[in-house]
Amino acid sequence: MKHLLVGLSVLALAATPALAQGNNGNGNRGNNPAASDNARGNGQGNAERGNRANERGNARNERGGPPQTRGNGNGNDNRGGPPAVRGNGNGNAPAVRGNRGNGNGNAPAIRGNRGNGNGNGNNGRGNVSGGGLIDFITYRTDTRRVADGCPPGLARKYNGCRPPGLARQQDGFRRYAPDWWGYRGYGRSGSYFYDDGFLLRIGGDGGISGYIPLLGGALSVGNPWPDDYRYSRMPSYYESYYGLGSPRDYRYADNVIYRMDPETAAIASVAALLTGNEFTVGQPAPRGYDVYNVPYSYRERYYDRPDARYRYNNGYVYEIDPETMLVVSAIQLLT
Amino acid sequence: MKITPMLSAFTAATLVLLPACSDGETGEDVPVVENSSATLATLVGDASELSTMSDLLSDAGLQGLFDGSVPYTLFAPTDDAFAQFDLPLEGDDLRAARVAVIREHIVPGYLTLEDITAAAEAAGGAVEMPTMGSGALTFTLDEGDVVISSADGVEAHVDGTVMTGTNGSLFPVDAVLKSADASD
Repeated sequence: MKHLLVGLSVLALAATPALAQGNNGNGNRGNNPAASDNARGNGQGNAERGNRANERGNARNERGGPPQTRGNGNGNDNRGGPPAVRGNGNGNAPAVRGNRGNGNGNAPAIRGNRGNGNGNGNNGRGNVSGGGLIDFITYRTDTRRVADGCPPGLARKYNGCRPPGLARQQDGFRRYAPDWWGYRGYGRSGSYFYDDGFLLRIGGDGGISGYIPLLGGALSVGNPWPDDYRYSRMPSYYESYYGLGSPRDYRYADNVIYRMDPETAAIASVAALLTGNEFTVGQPAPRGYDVYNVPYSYRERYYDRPDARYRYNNGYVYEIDPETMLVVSAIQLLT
Repeated sequence: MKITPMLSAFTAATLVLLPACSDGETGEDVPVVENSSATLATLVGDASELSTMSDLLSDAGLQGLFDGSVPYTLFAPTDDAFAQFDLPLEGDDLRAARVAVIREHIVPGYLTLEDITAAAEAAGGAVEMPTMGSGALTFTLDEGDVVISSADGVEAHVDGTVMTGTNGSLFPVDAVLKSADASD
């Protein structure tokens, strides 16, 4: 179990390997086995991390070719935005953490690097499916995660991706927006309809301009992963927490982690559902976590008190200041 | 409210009758099995009034979610509740829709009836928790009883024994917490 009192966030963790290392660095507390080289890093160490992020970003770019050729080429630009926000968030955080006396020297530097790491990582991220470590915000809100074009099988069915005229007027579940299907961040604009396990987006010309393979539909157990649907690698903590194994053994997309059969490349099971909400140390906690929800085995240690609240989200227990509602720390649940 | 003794199946469990309102002045007693040694998957599978939910989870490959160490709380509509919901419960074509419905009933972490009640009382009104779909569940107290509302306005009440297992909690509820009406 680790208190990551410096600059840890789901967002940050998920963004780049550099971030994870930064966290490990804070791991200062020596609990993180991966913390070795960065654990006591200072500005210099962080610079290295930043470089690593770049390297990774580039590496991802190489691997990330396919995603971009899948019509996601613009993704980098948009994804580059949130990292800046993240950088700011990290920049604000030090005051909080500094107050907590967790090694002032290391913390701010690490945070600074985190900002850099994010930016670089994202720039190189084309990446999303190229093994890029995607932050939850952009991963979820990038509407261009809708795969371009028409699902191969449906292209034949619809004669060149042009659905029948009545398709858009179908009743029932066939015309619901992504939000109804549990897919956040796609917005309510646009016209969608459901067919054969896909949510199909209708373009301005009336043809099918993109699609989202749905959990339980195209993304059912036994089905192959749709070629055009991007996925990403989770940070190592998540791989451990959710028991995912090696990166080739799972896919993460749209807040769902799928286990893959490495032999058949088919979906073997649903490993986990994630909320899509992110807690960032030093930032306000997301709204709507009003009820104490810490796992049973951690309740004796992390219980709500007048000066602290604890909430579980996606593998972490977060300490929240009840007065400011700022996230004070993130606690990993692996021992 | 009917009490469903389930102690025989869970050696470490304790059955208590928990007033939905902690001050005990109003509200029906809600049967609660606490600290079961079973997983959430087992609790769902063994609950006679939740066979539809169990079947849907199995069909969608989601049952494994509740068999590991990751904590979830499931608000499971009873068989009667599903029977009144306008959604085909079999077949491949709309499995994705059934999964979308199920996701709105799953909340991160380990919630207890006591914690929900305490939070609502402390807030003096509604409290929320996000779901694993795109919405949130809102909890309020109505004369001591917990009322659960979906983001699109459906209300449900606890309808059976609330059970807490090793990796989460199970709340049988009397309605499907998602509107079948289009949101667009």
